[in-house]
Formats: sequence, structure tokens, C-alpha cells
Amino acid sequence: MSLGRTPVRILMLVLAVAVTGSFAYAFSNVRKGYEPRQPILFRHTRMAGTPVWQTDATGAKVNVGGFGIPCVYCHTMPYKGRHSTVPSTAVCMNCHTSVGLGREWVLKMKDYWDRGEPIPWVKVHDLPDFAYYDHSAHLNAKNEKGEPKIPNKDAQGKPINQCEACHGKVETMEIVSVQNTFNMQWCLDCHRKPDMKAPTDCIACHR
Amino acid sequence: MNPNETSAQPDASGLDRREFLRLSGTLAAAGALASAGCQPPQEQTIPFHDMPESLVDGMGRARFFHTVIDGGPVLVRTREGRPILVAPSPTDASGRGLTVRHQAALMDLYDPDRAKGPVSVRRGKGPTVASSWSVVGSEVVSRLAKAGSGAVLLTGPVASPSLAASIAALSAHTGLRHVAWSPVEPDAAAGACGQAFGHSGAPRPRLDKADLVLGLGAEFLDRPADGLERDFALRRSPEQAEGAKMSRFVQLEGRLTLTGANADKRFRVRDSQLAPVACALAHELVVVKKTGPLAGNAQAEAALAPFAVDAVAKTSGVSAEQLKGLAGELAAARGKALVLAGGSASGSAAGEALELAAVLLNLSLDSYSAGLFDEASAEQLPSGSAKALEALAGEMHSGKVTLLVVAGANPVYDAPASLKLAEALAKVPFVVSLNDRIDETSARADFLAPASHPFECWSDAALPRGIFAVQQPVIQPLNDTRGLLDVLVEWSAAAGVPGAAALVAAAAPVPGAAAAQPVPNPSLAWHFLRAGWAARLALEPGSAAFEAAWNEVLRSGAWQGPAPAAPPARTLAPAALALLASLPASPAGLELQLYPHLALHDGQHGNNAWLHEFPDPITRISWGGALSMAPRRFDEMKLASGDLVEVDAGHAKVVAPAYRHAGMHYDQVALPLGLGRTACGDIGGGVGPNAFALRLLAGGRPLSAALPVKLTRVSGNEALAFAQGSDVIDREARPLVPVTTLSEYEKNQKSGTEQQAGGPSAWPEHPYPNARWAMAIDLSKCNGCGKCTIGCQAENNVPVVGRRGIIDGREMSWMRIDRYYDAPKKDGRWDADVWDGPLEVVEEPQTLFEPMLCQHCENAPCETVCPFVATMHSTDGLNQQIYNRCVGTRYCANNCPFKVRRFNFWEYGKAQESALFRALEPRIKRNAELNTRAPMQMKNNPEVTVRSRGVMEKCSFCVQRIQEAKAAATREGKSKVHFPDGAVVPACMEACPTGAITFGDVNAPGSKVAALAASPRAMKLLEAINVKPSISYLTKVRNDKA
Repeated sequence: MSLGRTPVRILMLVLAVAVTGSFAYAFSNVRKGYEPRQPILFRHTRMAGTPVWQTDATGAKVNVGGFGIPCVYCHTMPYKGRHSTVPSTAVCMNCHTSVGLGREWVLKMKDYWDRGEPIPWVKVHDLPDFAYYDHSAHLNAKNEKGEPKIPNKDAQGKPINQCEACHGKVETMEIVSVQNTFNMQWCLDCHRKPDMKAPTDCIACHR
Repeated sequence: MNPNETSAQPDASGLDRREFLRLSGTLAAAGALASAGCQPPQEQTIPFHDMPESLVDGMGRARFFHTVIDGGPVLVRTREGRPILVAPSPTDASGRGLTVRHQAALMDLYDPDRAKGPVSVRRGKGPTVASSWSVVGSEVVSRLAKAGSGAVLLTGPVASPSLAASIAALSAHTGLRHVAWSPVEPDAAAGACGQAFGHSGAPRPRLDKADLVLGLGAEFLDRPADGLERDFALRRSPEQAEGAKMSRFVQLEGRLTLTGANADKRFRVRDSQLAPVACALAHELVVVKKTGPLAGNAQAEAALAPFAVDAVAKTSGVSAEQLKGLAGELAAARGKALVLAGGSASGSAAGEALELAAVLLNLSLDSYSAGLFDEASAEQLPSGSAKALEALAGEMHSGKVTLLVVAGANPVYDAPASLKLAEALAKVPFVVSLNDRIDETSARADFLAPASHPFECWSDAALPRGIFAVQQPVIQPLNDTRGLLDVLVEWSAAAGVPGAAALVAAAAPVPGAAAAQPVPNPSLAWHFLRAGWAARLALEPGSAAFEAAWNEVLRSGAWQGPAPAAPPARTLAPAALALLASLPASPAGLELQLYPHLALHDGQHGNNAWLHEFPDPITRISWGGALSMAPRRFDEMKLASGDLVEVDAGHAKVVAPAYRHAGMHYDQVALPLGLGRTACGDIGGGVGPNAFALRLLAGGRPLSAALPVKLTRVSGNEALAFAQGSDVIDREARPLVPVTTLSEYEKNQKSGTEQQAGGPSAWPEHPYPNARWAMAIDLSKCNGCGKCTIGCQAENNVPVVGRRGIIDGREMSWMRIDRYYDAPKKDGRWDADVWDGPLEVVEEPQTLFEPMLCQHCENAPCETVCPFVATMHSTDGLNQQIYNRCVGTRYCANNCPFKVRRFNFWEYGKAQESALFRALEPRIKRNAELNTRAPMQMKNNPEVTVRSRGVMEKCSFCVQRIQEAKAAATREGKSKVHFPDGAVVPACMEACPTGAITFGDVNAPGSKVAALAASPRAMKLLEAINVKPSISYLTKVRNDKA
């Protein structure tokens, strides 16, 4: 190898590493902001958002905000099992046998129900298949003082939703989108915090 | 125009052509990345339409169901309604153990070659035509009415009381006759007991109470359906409770069996000589030593008179001194000795005499009166009768049978050839098969109405010790199949059997009922069972008490009925001694033994890939079988492994590859039964030779041992798929298996564990602040049965590689059982010729079994060489293998001294779609056949990644179960620092019938595995190279104290 070409080679190597690295970085961030369209335009703002009362033209008080339904009313399992679970259509029908009957998306949902078909929801928070995540192990984790490691109240003692820590304020989203990168770096950022005392072994998530 | 000019000329936009192309290319690439590459694949998440209430807490969690399959009580693990693992029932009190077939039943359930629904087979003439249950049912019922006693139901052995009751009811009403046939049911023991005691129930021996066990060709570890292996193992370790001592097991046999390999002392006696040898021992005890109640019994002494030790010693090859010594040993252990027969040798013409000799020995040793037999389990075993099949075949030939219904029997494949069942079937006007596929028998039927797998339908079973169990479905039928009991009840109703119509009405949906009303259970078998169980439980059907009791039976899996009445006292009927008077002479030359294949048994589950891939514990052959020959004879015939040999029994010939079987008697050869199915499916079709053709029918018994044969070498060689390369281990050079004798052990408890000490370690110590997972394997308890390997395969989604894969050395099993023959110590070292199996080692082999799995070394050699850090040590002592980081350099496997790492050379988990690739490489097609045809993937455990091509894998200590235990501890607010014993049970430990495997947290105070690791018998392998495994092997102790 002639000496004259060595700087060129080094430069190319550096460039290759930089390009690969930036692509890897870009790929590892692809989940953040993912906002797929769902078969039913389900509005978390309406169901889970905070109520906003207004007086309409007839003078009646109407809630133009949300109903403040807790997350676990529909997503029943996060404290008990691996998955938080997507509700079956029967859960929608708990209320929609009597309310919201004429609305477009409620009718579409009822179509599925009447046909006996499940609704093919699109996965929003989708980890790779080789990562095994357990909701219950995170939400029930406590530190030495017995406080949840994922805080359930803020500095003022006001209760906060534990789900927010990863999923963001879903109750404010018309269409649910991914608020964090959900890549391994992001998981480990939290697991490595000294007061978390969380496992950083590979087998904690991969098996 | 000159092209060069054009390229140089800028166009109106100011870009030249090259610049434009460059830019547009970059933009296109970026666009492609942005639109496709930079987005995660969109996946759907499909919830239930209406989630069953019982599942609300069950998503993503395993649910367990007790059921029975083939008479074995099992616990089935299901995920989202799919059975994914079959394990021994932990609460079973019946003592009935499992076989590998029970554990591999998943592969039968998800067998893609099962029939999808009723078809008109048309006697195999032309293609099949789809039919329906109603067509088949109405055909059968209309013919039943006319046929009278010309109608016959041919089944396998019926272990279910409800099924027996429904057959009896149908028979009583229509004249249908029932014939049961089982090809390899041991019948000699029942025959001998029946003649000796007038009661054919053979009681279950209590091996946990015996100080001395003498096996006369016994195979209680090869055929463990009676769960004897657990009792046996209880007395096989040197640490025994106060007052007890380690048992001693002496075996006499012609072929080295799994049972014989576990013996402390083994004599080679060919099958035809076992009866005389047993009689000689009885003669020595009764006539010479005057031991036991038979002493002075003139008839017994007269019957035993021809069997003086000296006379028998001349023909049997066992010297008179040895026989006398053995008799002396038995006499000394009187009241604590057991004599067992019941192996393949009992299938010889002298089988009943052999069994009777065992009875005489047990009587003389007071074994019955001293409680060494569990009389409460002396039930009449449901057995198939060759006599009945012989009579049936005669009637079929003479045209007396007008309707034949076959259910769970395959006589065209497995009945003795002299019955000519294929021709007989052709003479029956109407044949319906209820088997699960178009097998050898169904292909000659008019209709095939496929029966459901036991996991899909209701039935029940009577277990030993008065225990009854319900067979409850764990999944909806995958195809248009129905349970055997459902079909019989439906036919009964149509035929007008009293009571059956009411069940059909109860199962039918009520017309016009409100939607909210619960739909009645549509299974007729369920209604029939509950009626029968209400009577059994003596409760009003439909009452709250009955519902509670019924639900408890389903939950716990079993119900303890009143203990069966003990049979009449064991007093010998002198007439039975006539059996000894007419012992057939031994064949002059070679004799053949036909033994049921350890995994496939009678071949009924011949399309099960796990059973085919399961290596025989002794021969280590998978995917086929071979003619076992004595090493000396093998060498004399100048054979090479796999050379084809023709076995000529006079009435039939079979060509099989030859195998040099250690410990085989010189005058005996052996072939496995259960292979060579021609019509079972794409997996097992045509694998191995079919030895059923060599069986003879004599005196109503199918003879399968001591058959005179001639061997002829024929041209050709068929490579045998060995799962292990080497046979003999020289422990002087390679101290890899800790073994000692009891007398050595009593002198020095550490004997057998000697190995070269390791030097100082170059690596820093791992701290292990919290849990540290470890395993201990007691080689004294391990009998080498291999059930752990099937449990591991099911739990960890281990693929099947097929015959070619095994031959190429590409097996994927995470756990294997190594079988070695221990080379005795000798002056001067063994040379390299030890690898070839020298006669002095393999003629009288000392067999060692060693379960081998990832040792999770503290200083793991694999970890240091992985360039991608895809394998590394965890804080709790696991050697982690991270598939998504692995790029397949295979350095780790090359550096692993235990050969436990497995590389995915092929994509086993996913079918290769390209027809071109499939055509180019037949292995791709075969791998897909074995692993990926729907619905096979349903067996996969969702807790474990299905690995893809180019990835290394190995035992993970069932990390998914460890993680689940940790998550459960978090949920329940328990400590995650240490885990109590039993918090994590890996699949191998769960499957082990003898408790040889112990797993746990070695750092937890008082943990069992820590105690075992500190035992003087514990040895960690390869101390010399300082790998520091997490697995301790406890010395195998041989009881040499006669």
C-alpha cells in the first residue's frame, strides 16, 4: 500500500462509519412519532380526556371535553399481566348499546360487533418480537421505601398517571402516536438510573 | 450529435446530465428509505370480539389443565387456548408414569397429516371423496340393524370405563361384537398370573421397598407406563434414610436395554435361556436351600427338578457358581427382594414359563407376603387379545362379518402376517375406520371418519389404585373430527339404545331459546360422561353437590375411588407348574428379539417428528432402527455400521442396517418394532424397517422373541443417524463422568470425582450479589430415559432437523443424554483404539448416562471469543445468548468444550416460499415438512423466540420461567433477591420422572441445589481448564456389594 493513498482510505473508513452510524441512529428513532390510522377513528381525547363543560345555544350544559374514563377500564391488564391488552368489542358495547348511537364511527364499530368480527386495530406501540416486555413488572416495581419506581404522584403529591411515563398524555391525543423512541437506548436510560436498581442483563428482555 | 458533447452541455435548469442523475438517484434512495425503510412494519393487534370471562385475567399467561392421554395423567400447559406443553401431573397419586409418547403428544395433535374430515376412501380405488358425519353415521346405523352379530367393532385396548360402558350398551342393543387388539401388550405376565393364582391381575412391584431387584429381561425403565422408574430411583442413591440401604439391581438379558444399562451387575443370557435360568434359581432356592413356602411342596420340587444349576449352566452360558451366588444373594435378601420379568423376552414361546418362574421366585422369597407388591394396583389391565383377533380374521375370511368398524387399531400394519388381514378386509362388505388418518387399515375401508385427538374430546380413564380421571378437551377440534365416545353415543341414539336419545336431546340447542340462555354443551360425550360420573360419585345428576364435585374432578384431574378389592391370597395353583414341563428348546443358531421401539412403541404415533428424532438411549439411533448384533458377531461378519443385512425368519424376511450393539448376547439379534409405516404421513412414512412382518402367531400369542433366524449380508449400506459420535470413554484420560462403587464410596465419599485441578484464574470473580442459578444432576438417579430432552424441545421451540440433519451432525437439541461405555482401568493407558469400541469394553459394558446441557460456566470459553458480545454472563449466573445480536461466526461453538451450542444452518421456523430453492435443495423442503406446515406452529411457546437461520442457540436454563418468577415476585411484592426452591422449575426438571435434576438459586439460604452442590459426591466438569460450570454432577454409585 502506497503511503499516498492511506489518508484517503482512512477518510473513506471514517465516512463509512459515520454514514452507517447516522443511519443506525435514524433507524433506532423511527418509532417516535409513529401515528398510524386506525380502522375506527377512536378518540382518546373524548373517552379519556378531562371534561370541559360549556353551555350550548339552547342553554343546556354539554361536555365538549372528555369523559375521563381511566385507562384500565378498557386496557384491563397492565397491573396483572405482560400485556395491557386491547379491549374486545364487547367493552365498547358496554356503553354503546345506549349512547352515541347515530355517530359514524360508532356505527362502524357496531358493524363489526354485529358481524361478530374483531376490530383489526393497528399496533401503535410495537416492540420488536425479540424484546419481551412485561407491563406488570414495571407498574408494580417498588423501591426500598415502597414507592412505585414509576411515579404515581408528582412533587406536589398530585396523582399522575403511571402510563404517561412511556406513553405520554394519551388522553390529549386525537390520534395516538408514539411519544418516545422505544428503542433499547431509551429503555436502558431508565434502567441504568441508580435509584431504579433495574436489571441491565440482556436476558431481562431477550430470551 | 456527439454524446460527449451532450453530457458536457448544461441544460435549461442549470444541471448537467450527470449531476441530474446523481441527484435524482440520491433523492430516490432517500425517498425509499423514508417511505419504507424508516418505518417499522405495521402490525395489527386483533382483540377478541367478545372475550370469554375466564380469560379476562389470563391473556399472556399460561393456563393449566389436568387430563389423561393414553392412560397417563398429564398436566397440559396452554396459552391463549393452545396446548404448548405436556408435563407429568404433579398431583398424580396413581403412580402411573408417563412415556416420551405422552410428552410428545403435542406433535400428534398438531400433525398436519391428520385427516381433515370424513371421506369416502372407496377401498383405496381412486381418489378419496369428501363425505360427512351424517352420511357415515346413517350408513353404519342402518347396517348395524341388519348385521346383528355380523357387526364387529375393532379397537385398541379400552382404558376408559365410559367408553367401555357405551360399547357395552351398543352391543347389548344391536348385537355388535367388540374385539380389542393391541400389538405389543405384554400378555405373558397376565397369563402366568392367571394360571398360578386364578387372577390375571399382575400387581405393581414396589421397587422403593426392595433391597435387591433381579431382572429376568425386565424392561421397567424401557416401558415406564407403570411409573416404576420413580420408585426405583428412590433407592439408587447412596444417601438413604436410617435403616435403609441402597438397592442392588441384577439383570439377566440378551439385549442391552435401558433397564439393563442401569443394573449393578448384568449377565448376558439369551431370551430363550432366561426361563431355564430363572427355573435354575428357583430350583436352587426351593429344592437345594429349602427356602420359602414352596420348600417341601412335592409338585413344585418335581416341576423344578430338571433345572438343576449344573444342567442349566451348560446351555445358558452362566456358570453354576454364578447361578449359585445369585441364588445365595436372593436367599439372603429374602423378604426384601423382588424378581421381575415382563420385558421383550416374555414375548417368546417360553414367555409364560419365564413369568411363572418369576412368580415362583417371588413366592419363595416371600415378596408377596412381605408387601413388596402393591396389591391395590393389581387391576385387570385392559389388554388386546391376539386370540380374539385371530378368530375375527377367520370370520372375516369366511364372510361372516358384514360390518367392521375400526377405531384406534391398525391391524393391517401390526397384526401377524399369517392372519392376512388385508385380504380379510376385502371380504367384509362394509368397513368404516375411525382412525385419525388414511393409514394402512383405513386405506382399505369404505369410509374414514376421523376421530379426534384425546386433547380435543371428552372421555375418562381408570388409573391404578382405584383412581379415576377425566379426559377433558384442552382445545377445540382443529379439523372436522369427533371424539370416539361422541361418535358411539350418537350412533347409539340413532340405533335406539335406551337413554342415548335423551343425551342427544340434552346436547341440542333449545329451539327459540333466548340468546342470553347458555348454549348447552354440544358434546354428547360430555353428557354421557357426566351421567356415568354422577353414578360413580353417587350424587344426583344436575344437583349443586354434583356440579361442585365434578368441577373439583376437572380441576384436580383425578378422583380417588374406593380401593380395589385385594385379589385372593397368592397361593400357587399346582396346575400352573405344567408350564415348566414343556419348555421349548432354544433355537440352534441365532435367535431374534423384536422389541417395541423406545419412543415409537408400536408405531401408532408413527408420524411424530419428536419421537423419530428422539435418539434411542442405548443405540443413540434416531430416524430409523437397526438390527442389533453382538459386537463379536458383527466383527466376525466384517460388517460396517449400516451395512444391510437380511434377516430370514423362515416365514418372512426383512432387510435392515446392522448395528454393533454393546452388551448383546452372541447368539441373539434384535430389531425394533414400530417402524416402517407406509401410510402415516410425510414425516414418518417409510422410516426404518417394518419388523412386524417377522412376528409369528402361536397358541393365540404373537411371538416376538426367541425366533430362529438366519442372517445374510446383502449389498448396500444405509447410513444410521447417530446422535452421538463416540461410545467408549476412558475416564483415566478424560474424567468427565463421576462414577464409583458403593464400597469405594463408603471408604471415601469423594471417590469418583477425582480430576486434575485447575490453575489460577485469569478472570476476575463474578460477584453474584443476588440470586445465582445453578443445577445439580444426580447421576445415581438419572436412568437415561431422555424425557427431559422432549420437555426441553417442547418448551424451547427446538426445531426438528430430520435424518439428514442428524447425519450431518446438525442436531438442534439443547439438551441431550450422552451414553458412554466405561473403559475399565488397566495397566498402561488405553490407546486411541478405545474409540473403536474394543471387545473387552463393549461385550460386557458398564453404561454411563450423562445429561448434557449448557453448563452456564462462570468463566465461559464461549463468552471470551464472541466478537459481537452476543453471549455474555448475567449478574445471576446465566450464560446469556442474545439471538438478535448474533451474526453466526460460530466461534463460541468451536470454543465450547461441552458441544452444547447449536447453530441454525437452516431456517427451521419459517417455510422457504421460493419453489426454486425448494427444488434446488431438498433439505429446505424436508425442513419445511418437518417444522412449518400448518398447524404445527401452534405448538410454539410464545415466551421463547423462534430462532432464524445463522443464529447460535443453546440452553437458557429456561430463562423465560426465571423471568416469569421475577415478574410474579414483583407483582406480589415479594423479594427478588433470592428465590425459594420451586419458584423456578425448568422444563427438564419438570419432565424428569426420578427427580434427578434439581434447579434453584444457589445463593438462597437453605436451598436444595446449594446443599447438593456442596455434597461430597458433587463434581463440576473440566476443573482443569477452570471453566467453573454452574451444573454439579453427583457421582453415579454402583452397588457392588453382593
